[in-house]
Amino acid sequence: MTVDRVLQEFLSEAQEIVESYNRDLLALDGARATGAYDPERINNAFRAVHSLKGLAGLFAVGPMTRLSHALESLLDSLRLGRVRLAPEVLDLLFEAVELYGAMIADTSAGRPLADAMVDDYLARVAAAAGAAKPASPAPRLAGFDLDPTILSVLTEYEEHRLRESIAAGRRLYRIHAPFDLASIDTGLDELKGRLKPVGEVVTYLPSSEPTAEDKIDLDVILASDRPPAEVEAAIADTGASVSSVNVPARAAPAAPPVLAHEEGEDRGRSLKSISQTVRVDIRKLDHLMNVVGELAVARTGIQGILEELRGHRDVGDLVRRLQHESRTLERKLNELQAGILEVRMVPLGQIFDKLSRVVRRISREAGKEVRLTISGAETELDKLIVEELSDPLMHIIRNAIDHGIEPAELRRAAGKPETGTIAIVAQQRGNHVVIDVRDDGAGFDEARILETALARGLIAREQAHELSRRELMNLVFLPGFSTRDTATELSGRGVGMDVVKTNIAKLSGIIDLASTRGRGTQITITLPITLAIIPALIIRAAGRTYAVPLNSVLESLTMTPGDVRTIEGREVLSLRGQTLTLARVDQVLALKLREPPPARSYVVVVGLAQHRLGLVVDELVGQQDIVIKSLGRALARVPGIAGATELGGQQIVLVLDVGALVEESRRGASEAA
Amino acid sequence: MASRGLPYATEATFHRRAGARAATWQHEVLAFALGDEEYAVDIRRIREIIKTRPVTEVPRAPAFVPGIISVRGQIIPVIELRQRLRLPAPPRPPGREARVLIVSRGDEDFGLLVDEVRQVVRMRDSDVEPPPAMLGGPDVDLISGIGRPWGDRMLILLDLDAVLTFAEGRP
Repeated sequence: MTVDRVLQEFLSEAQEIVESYNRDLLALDGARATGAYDPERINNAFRAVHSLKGLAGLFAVGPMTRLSHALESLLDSLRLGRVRLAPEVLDLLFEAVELYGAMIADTSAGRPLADAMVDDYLARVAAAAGAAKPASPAPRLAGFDLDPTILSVLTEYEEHRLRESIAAGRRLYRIHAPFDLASIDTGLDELKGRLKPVGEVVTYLPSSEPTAEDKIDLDVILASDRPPAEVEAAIADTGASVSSVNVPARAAPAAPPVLAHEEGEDRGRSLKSISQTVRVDIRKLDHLMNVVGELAVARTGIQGILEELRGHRDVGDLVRRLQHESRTLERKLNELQAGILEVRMVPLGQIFDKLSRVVRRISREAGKEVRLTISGAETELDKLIVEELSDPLMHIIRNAIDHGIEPAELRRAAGKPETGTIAIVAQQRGNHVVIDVRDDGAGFDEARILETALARGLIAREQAHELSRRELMNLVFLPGFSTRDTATELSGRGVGMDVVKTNIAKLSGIIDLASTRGRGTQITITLPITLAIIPALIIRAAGRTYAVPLNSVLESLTMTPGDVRTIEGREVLSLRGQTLTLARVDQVLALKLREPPPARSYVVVVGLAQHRLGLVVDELVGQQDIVIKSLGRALARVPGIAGATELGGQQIVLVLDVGALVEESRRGASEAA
Repeated sequence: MASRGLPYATEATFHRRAGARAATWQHEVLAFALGDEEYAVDIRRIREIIKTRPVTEVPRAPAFVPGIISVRGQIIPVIELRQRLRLPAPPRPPGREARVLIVSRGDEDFGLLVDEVRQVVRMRDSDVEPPPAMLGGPDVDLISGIGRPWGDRMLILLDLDAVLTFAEGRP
């Protein structure tokens, strides 16, 4: 048990490191075009695989150790400039992300890792590292007015960076900075922070010219393309002084000082973790949430006792005090609940990073140039939702690249830029997060969708002309719209789109598609922020009580039987000039009536995205915050029910799955017609 | 833990007093009544025994699942055992003696609705017969054997995993 837990810890830590490694590669890839990448990114990637090597060694995951070791050498060669950061090298580095992912998955599933899985890859890495040659003729370091004592202690990396900077025509500055012995760490960090925007700190060394007893003076060598005034401005009021280092225009070639350097180790870097975070199993949070829910139920019980006590005169003062305490308890409970919810929230950026990698790989496979733009990566969603979202998004993007974005020649002919664009935009709207995935590809062909839907018997011919454009587009989400075999010839993005839709629906989300032939496609996913706790409307129908998530309730109104009309046998209501389809809760759920329906009933208008439905109920009971609990696997597939919740006094009510009900009513409409 | 809070006199107590050696018992089951018959399940599978409480009906659930209850914040489906076993006797509202046995399968819990809990029974391997090929009432697939601890008493031993497997593969 504990061994399992330790292993899980290792795997999730490894996963995080691989993700950060991936982010660094993406940044390098993005900057490669301009040629000015941040060398710190290579260092980060190097540190990442170094940590992975250590971890894998600790847990005796042999292939992972070997992989990390090989990558470490390659990245070391990169940061020392022995290997150039060419696209092929970057590809190799990206490939490692997949390999690590597979290893983590296998180890997690208890499958032993085969050495063979990395052999081929390691051979290619070795070849790439072996092809090492200096990127450019090394400029001479002699002839600068740098203190030879400084030159003699540069590490190979620092020396490489110095040469690179000189080759790039940057200026060199020496910054002389006094620090208090007591606070040198923070002081130095601050100075580096100020210098970072104006250049690259090549090295820093204790100065040979100390100024005072309790001070330590450092000489910082900065490479920068900024004029001296800007560098001076950056460190103004730090007490440091700047002087320029003379760089001879073209120094005569001579042997570079051959110096001792460490073996790619990060000298002086602490092993202490910098991050202030704790990894927590989400199930522990679920458990805490359950406890909070029970506390809330207990508080309701106390409130009930209070109400009863109110009648007794002789305890009036006690009742008041108890009431006061009870309110405090309620407030604190709410805070606790909000706190737990907040802990569950993670930024969508986590999956967007993975998606960038997918785009890169698939577009290369497909031989298409595709640019991915992302906005709203900081938008937060419940961890569970984010986890479940990555597969559907991956699917959508794969489809967009495979079938949406046209080959370069076609795009040119259509007057579009050769590079296709896929844009992901996430934003919060009230209790929902809306994620748009847009591409500027070929779009869907309406006529073909219609043809296919007819051919597969998904709609009837006479029904076809009644479909709105949007309804027509959304036919691609129907199961059976397309199969793997026919997907391509149908210009089909239909590969498993029904699966995508089902996955989104499981998260109480709605997916919608809009497309313009020749212009592109936009898929919109609307999701609740959390599934853990939601405000709900409590209703009664057919003698039973149900909860309806409030985030999908638009309004509620009273209704008398006379208000109801029928269209093709389906009950509808005219609401402000629009036709609203009605669904009687007892009929939808096939409930036996326990009492005759009341003469006057209520309509709860629910909607997700642009779809509306009027739920006919007997009574509106009130609003309450509820914690939705799963019915368990045994009853998991009860359609129309999202889960259950406790209202207090051991009363359990079912929570209606509005998305599924709306869906069912739409499907019912097309079947009936 | 498994038998915590059982207020019933058990044969185990009797045998311990009589000086019998516990090591010779291979089966320890909880016997309960369903109609006129006596059934039993492995005591190690029972986490808890609670009084019946109102269930919340779940639409479209199998007919033998009258609904769900909450046990300490956890939602648990309740199984009406008579219907699950397809006993001919019609289901009737649970009486005063009716109990819900909370049993687990994997990491999921279920409640079994029974008419009355009788006692814990210990048996040797030799006291247990394989399930008869032809049995009048219940589904033979759900039965692991027949226990005859003494005399004419007959306990129908339930195969809990089979009883609790009903959702997989259902559309």
